[in-house]
Amino acid sequence: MDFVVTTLLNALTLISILMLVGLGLAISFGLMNVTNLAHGEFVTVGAFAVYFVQSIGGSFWLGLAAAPIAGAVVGCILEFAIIRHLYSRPVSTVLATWGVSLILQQGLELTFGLGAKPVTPPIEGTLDLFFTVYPAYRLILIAIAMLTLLGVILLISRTSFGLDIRTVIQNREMAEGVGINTRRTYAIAFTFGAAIAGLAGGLVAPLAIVLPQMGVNYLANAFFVVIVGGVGSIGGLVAGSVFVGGLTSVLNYQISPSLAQAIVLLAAIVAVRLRPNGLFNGASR
Amino acid sequence: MISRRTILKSGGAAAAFAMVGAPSILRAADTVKVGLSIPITGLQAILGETLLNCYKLAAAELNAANGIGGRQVELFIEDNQTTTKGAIDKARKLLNEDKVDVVMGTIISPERSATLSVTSKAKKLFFYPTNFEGGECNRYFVATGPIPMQQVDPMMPWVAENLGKTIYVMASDYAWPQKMTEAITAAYEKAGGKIIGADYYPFGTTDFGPAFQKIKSLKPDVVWSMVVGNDAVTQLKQYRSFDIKQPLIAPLDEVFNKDALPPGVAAGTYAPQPYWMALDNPVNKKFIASFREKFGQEKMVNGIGEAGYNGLHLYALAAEKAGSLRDDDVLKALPTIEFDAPQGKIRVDASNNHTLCHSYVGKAAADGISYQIARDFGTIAPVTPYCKV
Repeated sequence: MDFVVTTLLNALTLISILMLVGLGLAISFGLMNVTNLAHGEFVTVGAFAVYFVQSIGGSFWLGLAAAPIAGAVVGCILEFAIIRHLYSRPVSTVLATWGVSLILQQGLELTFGLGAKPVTPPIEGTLDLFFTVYPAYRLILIAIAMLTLLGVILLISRTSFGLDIRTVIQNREMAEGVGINTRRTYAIAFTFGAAIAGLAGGLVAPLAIVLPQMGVNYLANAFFVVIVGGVGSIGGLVAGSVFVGGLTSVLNYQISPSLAQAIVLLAAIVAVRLRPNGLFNGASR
Repeated sequence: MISRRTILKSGGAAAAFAMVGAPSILRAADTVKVGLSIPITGLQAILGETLLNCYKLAAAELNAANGIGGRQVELFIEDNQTTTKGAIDKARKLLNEDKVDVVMGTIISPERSATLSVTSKAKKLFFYPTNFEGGECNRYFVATGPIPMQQVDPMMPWVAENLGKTIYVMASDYAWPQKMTEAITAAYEKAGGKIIGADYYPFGTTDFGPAFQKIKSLKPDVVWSMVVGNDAVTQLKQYRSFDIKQPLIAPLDEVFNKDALPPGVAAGTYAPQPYWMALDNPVNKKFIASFREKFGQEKMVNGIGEAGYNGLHLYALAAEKAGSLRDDDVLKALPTIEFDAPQGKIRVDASNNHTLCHSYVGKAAADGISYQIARDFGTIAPVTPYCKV
């Protein structure tokens, strides 16, 4: 029982992180068809926001509140200054966003100095869950991730802004025809995705290394999750995260972690081959 | 040239001797050119800064005295960016453009291999300061840090006796931890211990949860971590949060603990190193005092930096004894000299050009930065059945 619960919680931690990072990418890559290689830097910016707030004496929670704001600000500027001019030139976007990611990394290094930055978790130690003991902070992380997901689902399915987004995704010309300001919708959606990635960065800051180059550790996996799950839907994102995160956690325990990573990649390739539109979206669309 | 003429005109006996009679080292008013390939940026930037400062300190000490055989030491500092390509480019620049007399530096294995691929072909001396997996064998390659057997062989009986009989290894997936694990397994089994699991994690791992789960189910007496660099920060943060009680052996040092880790997470961990700041001897006290006077009172220094400092001093002593800067002459003199290093007296083994290093186990203090010496194993000779130069 202990084994099952711990594995499940390990998997949930990984799935939560993948999902939050992937959410922004699902919006930009999946919905807007923008390949944003600077997406990992939103995570970095969020983590640095927590570090910065803590370094000037603020609490972790204040830092965590600042993280999505920092992500949103950077995302908004990026969309306004660069990406909106390149919506019709996807290949140029790849190059431009890669350049931006390098600039952001070096900018952070120049501002905050070399090396890893310390971030203190808001809560130390473990929580006794009857079946097993598990780090308290990880449980908080899982809870916040689930609440965020729920919030996003409600936003997309229940608000008029969500309706706008869904309309624009299905058919941009038609959406414009019925009077939706698609440019504004894109900008808000992109900024929103960056904010969620910033939140993810804030959440992983006490757990993993905080470094200008940290974003790259999350970028590849995020693309992975979005592609496997199927672009264009929250359900696909959840399916992809569960597939990648769950498989990685279970396999890492059973076999050598490097081999586990290779097997997860292989399984993902097979999954994409068998269900080209994603796990969630089925074979036909 | 002006100074040469001046000396000639002055016609003093000593000057004339310096010009004509003595070997090349004493001839010109040139400098001794020491090329440094340092990871000033990139993944090893934190340790690179300390290493560079240690070379600067050694050069300043030599220059304040008599230089090397009367010639001032001039450092040619290059940033290899912790990359293979950077290390190759910078080694070529140092040798071909700057015409340095010797190359020193580099930290991780890719930097070392890349640099060695250039220096060995050019038959130029290369002094490497970092503890590494061994296996390199080249006449012009001098290692001033320890190989696994120097750290592990004396340490394992102590681990078996003091920490426990079973070990779980969690490490980064590359050459050094794998060779170390081989050495640990052999020495530990001799001492009656057993490795009950070893997992190698790819670089960039962000979640070590499964490894901690394994520790909980395998229940080893000791956990030996060889997760390095940035991943070590992630791993130690998570290790603490899982509340694991077993003693942890981890390849940390004072510089890394202070500059890269959150406060306190390294407290109570053990590490094998050839040098600790806590060593109580006058040479070390002076070393630390001069280092801090030059670079800041809050600065820490570590085993890699000390080995770099030793390397430049060993080179200076050998060059002076040889009376020449020719690589082969320096090499010939190198095993015959001894240097009173901060870690204790050291010398280079003629059979493989590796250094007879000290071997200590340190235990991190409650602040998670400094170490107490848990055990001193004395000087350990480097034994390399695969290498004879």
